[in-house]
Amino acid sequence: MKRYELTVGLEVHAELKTDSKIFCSCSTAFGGEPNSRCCPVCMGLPGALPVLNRRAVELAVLAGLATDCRIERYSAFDRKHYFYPDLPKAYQITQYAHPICRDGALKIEGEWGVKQIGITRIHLEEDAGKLVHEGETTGIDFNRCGVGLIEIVSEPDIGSSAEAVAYLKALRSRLLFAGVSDCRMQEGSLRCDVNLSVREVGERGLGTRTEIKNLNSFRFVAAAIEQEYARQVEVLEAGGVIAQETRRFDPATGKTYQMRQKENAADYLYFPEPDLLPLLLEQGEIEALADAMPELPDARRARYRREYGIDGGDADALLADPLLANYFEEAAEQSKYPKTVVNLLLTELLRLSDGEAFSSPIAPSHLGELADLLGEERINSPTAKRLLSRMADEGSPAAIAEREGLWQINDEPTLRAAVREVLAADPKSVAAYLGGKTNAAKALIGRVMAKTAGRANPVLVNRLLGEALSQLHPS
Amino acid sequence: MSKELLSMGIAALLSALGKGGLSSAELTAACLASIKENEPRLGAFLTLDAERTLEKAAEIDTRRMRGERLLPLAGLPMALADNIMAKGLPTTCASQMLGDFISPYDATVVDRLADCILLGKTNIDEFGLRSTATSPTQGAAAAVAAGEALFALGSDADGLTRQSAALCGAVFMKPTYGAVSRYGLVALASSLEQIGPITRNVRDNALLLSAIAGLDRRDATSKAPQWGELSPQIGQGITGMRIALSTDCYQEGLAPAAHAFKELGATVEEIKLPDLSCALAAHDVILSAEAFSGLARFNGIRCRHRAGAASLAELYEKHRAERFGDGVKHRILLGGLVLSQQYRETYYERAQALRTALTRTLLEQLGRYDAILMPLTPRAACHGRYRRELYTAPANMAGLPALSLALDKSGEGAPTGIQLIGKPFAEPTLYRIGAALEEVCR
Repeated sequence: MKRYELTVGLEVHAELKTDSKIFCSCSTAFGGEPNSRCCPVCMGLPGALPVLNRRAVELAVLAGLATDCRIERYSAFDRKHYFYPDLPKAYQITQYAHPICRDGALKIEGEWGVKQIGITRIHLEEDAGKLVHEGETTGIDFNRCGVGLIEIVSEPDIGSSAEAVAYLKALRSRLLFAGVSDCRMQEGSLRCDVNLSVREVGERGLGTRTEIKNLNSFRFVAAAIEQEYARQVEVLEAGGVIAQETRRFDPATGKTYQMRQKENAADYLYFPEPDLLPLLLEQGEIEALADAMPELPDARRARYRREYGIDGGDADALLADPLLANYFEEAAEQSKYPKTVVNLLLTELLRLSDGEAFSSPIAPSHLGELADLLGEERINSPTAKRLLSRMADEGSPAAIAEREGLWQINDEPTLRAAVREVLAADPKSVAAYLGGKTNAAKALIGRVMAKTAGRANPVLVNRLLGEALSQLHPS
Repeated sequence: MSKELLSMGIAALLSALGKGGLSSAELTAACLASIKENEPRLGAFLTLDAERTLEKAAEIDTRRMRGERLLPLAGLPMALADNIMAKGLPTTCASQMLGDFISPYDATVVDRLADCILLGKTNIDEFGLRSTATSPTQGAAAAVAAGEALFALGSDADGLTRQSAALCGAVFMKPTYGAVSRYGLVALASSLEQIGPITRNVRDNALLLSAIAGLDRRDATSKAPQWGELSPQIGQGITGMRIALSTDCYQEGLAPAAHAFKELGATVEEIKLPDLSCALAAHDVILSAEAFSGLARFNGIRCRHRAGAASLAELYEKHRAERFGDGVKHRILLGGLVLSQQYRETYYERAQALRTALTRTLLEQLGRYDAILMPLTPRAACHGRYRRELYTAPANMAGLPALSLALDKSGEGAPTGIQLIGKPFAEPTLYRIGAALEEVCR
């Protein structure tokens, strides 16, 4: 019986999917030679000034709309000061006093039922550079410096590691589908800090909280939460007090450690950024963005259920990636067999797509066509597989099938004749089958398929073979 | 530069250049000669590059002869304060902190004057912050007054440049906030400062401001000037214009100017200005806060010659301790204090509230007058470090244009300086009044 309950709040940073950085026109492309994508502005050189990237604002609004936030028509920028080598100006331009979005929520479903996790605020800010440790020295790469971020702060409504992961998955999904961010934790375009406290069940106030940083996968977030919960309970049970501090999670040991720098109660000397004007949004602008927003996962899931009868694990798989979902919709739009489309997509095409984002050289319409051919039993599965490997280069499966005579043979008399021939030619297998080795039928089916150049309808062959074999053994 | 050439003024020189009676090479050579003669005494320049300037002058002359289209004020020799970026030249801000820093890019104002002949970078107080109670350093003003350069650009966050200019007998306009791009100006006080023209007379000043002002995509606080043309009103006289004057300021040497205005047909009325000591205190707080912030980026990390240190913390401390002067350090410490959690409300937020009130009052008063006549520097002995900005800080706080002029240039001792403050984008009006006064004081 747990005496202590867990309270978790999550701070998620997502890199905005803009072509250029938030305050200058340098490219945001990932990787590249160190310090090849910088300019006086993002390098914080003397005399350089920030200019706000309008697209970054739009994406922040979309993020707010996708999480049911109130979009603030007035928001403003502040300077947050601290000294660290990856921060060239020694201050970060962020939104402290007046964030662009407030008071949203995300619904999560799981063993706990259905729960709303509140979102306190979403604000815009710039990223810092990256420190690269090489033996005794540390290099600083400013390519990432100035990339636009949104910080999404949740209410301390999360009560377990499972809820935390569900929240992160739901958030990631919304941001992906709204086109706000690529959300790749491994690449660092999605980062999560955990704020955690415990309290005795029944207690009203929240306990002292600690912050855990350096978590770059959902799995680590869950592990860190469980670890820190256990640690805090242990401390309290032993009569100690929790120090308000920032801790680092080490995936190797699975434990949290106090960070070397003292991050407690830092005074960032916030004040309004004098180089930028306050951000004013017109109601019309916000509405236009809402109208242009891509359909979000929840709405799509409902539609898939309604229109295609697709739900559960299949829907989950499709909705993991907007590119995949969009591809599916395009293919299914022209097909009478959406469930077959899903099958083909998830088993065949997904396997062939390399990299984190889905892509396929096969046109969606051709996939839809292939699904129809299968659904109408005009081709069999082996043929479908063979066609798939050729569709990227040769296009329409129906055209290929027609050209090369790959249509499925559904004519019973033809198949019956083939079966008779195979049985006649292979008495050994027949005897083996009749002798009780039911596996022998497989070999016989194989022969029929070979005889028909792989075009026979396998279901029919199975039935007809069964009938023929039972006739040989009247009992 | 020879007295003859100097007395011609920009418009006449441009005309002579255009007609071919004068070459940029000649002009530049004249400036260089003046520099050679005067620099030992003045020490106005921190960086000079005679060879490059003569090459540039020759190039402009060639392009002019070919009939190529040239940028405004092409071929005229100028000086640039050393806190403004000019690609390839040092920009040291007169500080050890930037002792070996070479500008990697041009400031917008330098871009706009790309066909001028940049003689060199001039001396300023370290980062533009006055460190002692003595006269402000402004090499640009001295250079222009002595004929080492035809004109110059300098920045003004608190009035030092206005005061320097008048002390030398030059003219300086601190423009309406936002009228001139700050891109390329090493930031000291981002919401207070502007780059402005330093010239020998009012007409020249208007021509120069015309060339450098205007909306800049790279400066989000820059605005499109709403003044149409700057110069046309100059020479139209000031009959019927209404000039305000604070009762308290009569003792500050404004009587002669007030008298001159009346003689010229303007109405001079006394008004009660807002509490300037209060405004000054607020200015002090805001300047310190913004200086703290703007100077934080100078910390040794992206630096070729760092202070030797065993840890990161030590690097930050040593580098800044060794490379900043005392005046700068004082400002930074004050700035950190007024922004701290403990004192932010008491100092920074209150200062901004005072600023808003001051701005509102001044705008209200300027609604009834064409300009406010103000002194430049308090005559009384200064109590406290920063009283010298008493009359100049308000224009920075409210973002208003302020023209400084020297009167009585002929007499012994330093010329008397006055200031004309106007509504936002009232530069044409200020030039008109200033020109009229200048005429009388010749």
